[in-house]
Amino acid sequence: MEHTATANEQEIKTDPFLLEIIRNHLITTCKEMGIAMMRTSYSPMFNEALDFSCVVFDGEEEMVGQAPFVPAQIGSTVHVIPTAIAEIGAENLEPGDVIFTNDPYRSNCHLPEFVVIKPYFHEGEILAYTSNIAHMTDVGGMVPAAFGDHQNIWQEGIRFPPVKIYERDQEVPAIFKILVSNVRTPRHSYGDMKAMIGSLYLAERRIAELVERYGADTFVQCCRDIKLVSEKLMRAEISRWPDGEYQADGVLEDDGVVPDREWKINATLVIRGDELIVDFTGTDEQCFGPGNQTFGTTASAAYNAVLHMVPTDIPYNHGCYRPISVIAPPGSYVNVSYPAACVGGNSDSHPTTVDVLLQAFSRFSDKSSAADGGTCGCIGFGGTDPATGEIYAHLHLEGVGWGGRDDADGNDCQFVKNGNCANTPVEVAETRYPFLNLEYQLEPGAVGHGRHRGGFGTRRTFRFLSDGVHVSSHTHRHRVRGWGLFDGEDGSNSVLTFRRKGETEWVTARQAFGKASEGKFSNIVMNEGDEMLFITPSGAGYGSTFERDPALVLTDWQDELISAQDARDHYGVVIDEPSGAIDQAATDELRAGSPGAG
Amino acid sequence: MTFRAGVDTGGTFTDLVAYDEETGDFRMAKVLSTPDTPSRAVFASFTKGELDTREIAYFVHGTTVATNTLIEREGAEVALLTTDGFRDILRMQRVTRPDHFDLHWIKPKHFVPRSRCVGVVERMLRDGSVLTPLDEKQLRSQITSLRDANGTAAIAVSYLFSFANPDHELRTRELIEELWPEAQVSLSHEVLPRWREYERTSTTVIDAYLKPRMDDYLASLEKECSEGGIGQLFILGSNGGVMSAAKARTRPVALVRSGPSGGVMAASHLGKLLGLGDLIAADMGGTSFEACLLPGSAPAFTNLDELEYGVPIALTMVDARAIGAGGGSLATVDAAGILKVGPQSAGADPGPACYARGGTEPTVTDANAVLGRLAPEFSLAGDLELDFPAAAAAVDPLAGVLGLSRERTSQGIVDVANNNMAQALRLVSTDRGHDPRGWTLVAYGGAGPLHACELARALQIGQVLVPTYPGAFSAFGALLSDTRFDYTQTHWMRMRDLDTDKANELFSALERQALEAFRHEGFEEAPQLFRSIDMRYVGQNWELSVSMPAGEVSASDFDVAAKLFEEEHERFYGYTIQGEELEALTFNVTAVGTRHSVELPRLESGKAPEPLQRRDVVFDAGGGPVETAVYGRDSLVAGTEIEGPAVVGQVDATTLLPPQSLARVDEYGNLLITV
Repeated sequence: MEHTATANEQEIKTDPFLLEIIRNHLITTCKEMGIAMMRTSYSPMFNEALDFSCVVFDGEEEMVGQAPFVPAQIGSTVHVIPTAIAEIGAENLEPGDVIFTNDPYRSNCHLPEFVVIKPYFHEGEILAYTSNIAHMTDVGGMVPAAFGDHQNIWQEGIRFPPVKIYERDQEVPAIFKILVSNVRTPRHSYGDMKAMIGSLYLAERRIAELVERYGADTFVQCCRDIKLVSEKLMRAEISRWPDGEYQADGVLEDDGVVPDREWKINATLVIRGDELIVDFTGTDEQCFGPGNQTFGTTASAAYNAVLHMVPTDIPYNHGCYRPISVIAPPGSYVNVSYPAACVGGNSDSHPTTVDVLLQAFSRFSDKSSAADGGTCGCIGFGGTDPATGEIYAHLHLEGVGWGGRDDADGNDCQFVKNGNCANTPVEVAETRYPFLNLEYQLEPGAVGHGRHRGGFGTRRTFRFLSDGVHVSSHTHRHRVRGWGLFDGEDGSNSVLTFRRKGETEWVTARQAFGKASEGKFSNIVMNEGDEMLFITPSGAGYGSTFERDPALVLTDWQDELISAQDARDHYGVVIDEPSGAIDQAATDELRAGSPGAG
Repeated sequence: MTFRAGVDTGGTFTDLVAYDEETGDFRMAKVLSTPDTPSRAVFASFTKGELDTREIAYFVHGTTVATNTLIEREGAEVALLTTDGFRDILRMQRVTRPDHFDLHWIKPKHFVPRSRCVGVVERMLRDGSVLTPLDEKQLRSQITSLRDANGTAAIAVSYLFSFANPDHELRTRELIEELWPEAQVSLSHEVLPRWREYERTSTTVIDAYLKPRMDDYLASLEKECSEGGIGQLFILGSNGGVMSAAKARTRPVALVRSGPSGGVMAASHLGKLLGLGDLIAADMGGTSFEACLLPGSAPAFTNLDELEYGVPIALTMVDARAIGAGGGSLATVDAAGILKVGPQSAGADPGPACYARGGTEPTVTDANAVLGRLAPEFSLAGDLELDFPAAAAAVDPLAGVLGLSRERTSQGIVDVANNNMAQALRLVSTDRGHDPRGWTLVAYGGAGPLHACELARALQIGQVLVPTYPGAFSAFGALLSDTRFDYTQTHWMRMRDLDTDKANELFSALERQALEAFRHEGFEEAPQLFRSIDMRYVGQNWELSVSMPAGEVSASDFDVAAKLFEEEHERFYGYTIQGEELEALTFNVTAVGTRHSVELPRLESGKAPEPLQRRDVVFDAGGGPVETAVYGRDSLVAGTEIEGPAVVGQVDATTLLPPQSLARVDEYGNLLITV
């Protein structure tokens, strides 16, 4: 077998200053694409929630630049971009062409992720690709805003294999016409596509500046070296981890189709020298609902977990991924086969996959984290706005509590690890859509306690202002709890309930609407005056509750986040409520026992 | 009483620029700042500038007190009243994180603990109608509890949709005044009548947080000024406009970017005076680099900035963006052998190694010292001795790791620092939809003129302007600034439902506020009023501002605005959507009043000066040092031309002219450099 030089044997040929300059230029380019996208797109998914990612690939079809966008999308670009280019054929590309696909079976995460890719030509040769992957709110299919209890790909929406959507700088009208004819919000889809493609042109100009200034050869070499630097750093990190096999598993509570059937994700980290294999063998078969992960989603989740375990100053690019191999058995929950559904795999299975892997890391490292809230809180609303007569589709996302970690409590109300989306301001949502938010605040009390406790989730109550609002959901952790680490307590559950106008009792979709699941369902119809309550899970705890600094327990009590009873029951800390001080003697006495004993 | 004085208090120095309106005499002075009692340095600068305070008719102060209060978190204990059900808004923020793979990031805390965030029963809807009336009985007991709990000094009130109907916020203030007259109050619809509740609440909380301390500071400064016989005291705001100290005390959040706005306003003034057109103002000091675009010499403004990640201030501010790059930025080599510069800084203490105050880590200034680019003989009255061997000793370990020469390494440090600044500028430019090639870079701050030419080359900018006193440019700007107030009101209006009566009502109401404020500021004449509306395609979420005419507006004025919008959209983003409907979101009025004009002193022309000396400077480490002429800035006369390579030294900065650049001294003493 021919010997190819390993990363450690290869030398970086670019001058270290130029390398830093070009690397920064590429990152800035991605950020610039993001700014343009945010400012020009139509959907709140982009301009408020920022659910898109901009990347630059080199002529070798490998990532050389990215910026802090959405981790799930970034990881999948590593696979979907080369797949899409290969299918069209790089030799069939011309300057001004733009490739478009959203096909989950071609390594994309799920249908709503629209991927556009533009080759950058220099003297007839492709030196780079600029790409934008963005979550389109509505993609047709059986529910507004894409998330529900689908059982196959046709219910999920319109699917585009890789096609050219621009040819030589001109729109391909047929593609746009087919797209806008198959979605609920054609104006948004058109405007958003234009914004996405506009960002590619901007990025291409920036890359051309680099090539003009430093020359094509230097640019190409620099791209190689940028990747090599990250690969070396990544391998050095992996080498520090003890060789071995580290197993963990966790479940998704249901698939929205079969009640009460759990689906297991099993993972083994295999560490050998400076290589890491993430092996999902032993995972359950693919489910009947939309919780399945595509290979792109699974690989992305694996990269996501690993990158959370390495220092944040490693430049993120293709070099980071080279030492990582992913094994995902075809037809399993983590490598869906056609025509099974998969829209929720990217939103709610991905976080559980990451939490399973972080649990596996905790077998040898204390730098891992307890599980986070494990759901994106995807709830879709659709209907016709009575004020304007317009059809709308809105995807609601929600923050969760993050898990406790070795150095701090988990953050409150933060988007789960697969994404990095902002909440939509109440004043923006209410100006656009016919429903109110009666409350949106933290959910005190319910949290995974621990030496470092989880962060708190949120509660939000909606009231609908018009009839015929279709509500669909793909949310998780209604039954299963995020797991604590090192004796920390498990996190709290999601709650998603409804109350018809005039009723007093809150009921779940399962209790009142005949659905198979509390969290995964399609098209419940809400009318004027009806209400919906959504509580997101907290993070889980890290470390024994009795090791928590009593001063932190007191602060949580002062902040009205836990009760004095919680302080005593979970932490063995006795607070004298009238004086607001800790009763040290009583605390010492309680803490002489073990947590939960009292 | 013929002097106008501008004083800018910075982190290290307090600068004075003063101007005698009768004689045209200019004074400049620089003293060390006195952070404990900032006004001490202010008065010290008058003394050093040989300015009798009784001679000062008009004094404008640019201050970092507000900024420092926030950075050091030394403001007041604040309570926040929100709509019931939304008390955690400060803790929840916008749910995002700055680095997508960082397991150890801790979300920044805002300025109010949860225990002092109080939900008040009330609720307005998007159209300003009342869903839930204000529960005054409960509110009274909530206010009383806060009062009786002690410790709280200021109250921020931010209710949902208060910009659509402020009644509940106003009534809340009445109740606070009745029950607890000592408390300082900030109402969100007064601070920022714009939608997006987190940004508005955050800004309002910061206003309340600053109020007691800024009130103390400005009250005592007013007193000192009045005792010293100074005519009028004005404060420079974040929007580059001046306001009376009394006004500043009521809205301290408007002072948070007071410092940077001075330099930007000075650049604007020079750009207009010299007809330079499009400018980039670049301020590089010891620890930070701030840049602002000025298309057509008019500053760009923003209405969103962050104190730190997730803690926004959403007022109209000069859009000066900061990155951690300055003379004190540290150079390091990472595990993969790549050179990084900043954002860590050696700061003022110990500072760069060559300052010989105990610093041993290599900084950008040390790299410049190794390359021979500094001119220490001109520095602050010669009191700063540069320790060149210390600079070399700091750079050498890095050179060893990289396997490169000391000079090559130093040049690399400077190149990477320049590139960091260039990247920051690119982001600003994209955000504003501009291509800065062909613009003029106005370089100031202690380190700006040293890096300006190479930075300009990195950005493909052809011309650099180094003002006469680059180290006191912000004070100069304070002196020149007009009175400016910005008024804004969110009101959602689709163009197909255009309501010109409502539009006229909104503009009139904003203009009434403006006229009232100018009367309070003691203006006899009405200010100039500029109207704009923020528009977007229906369904978009971010707006572009377009101007609107004065007087009664009609439907055809909105047609013109729509055309302007399309042009702006094309320029910013490269496309428009034909036939798409537009909507207006926010109505704005800016009021500007000018008190004085300034006649800048002119420089005599004469015989071109001789270099004071020649010395070796490295511009290209591959080619070795180049013999370079050193000039004193004082010796330059109007019309002097200097070819690079050259070094021009002066008290407050060193200007570096690389080979193939050409500097010309204009009639005001500015250096205009073709790079």
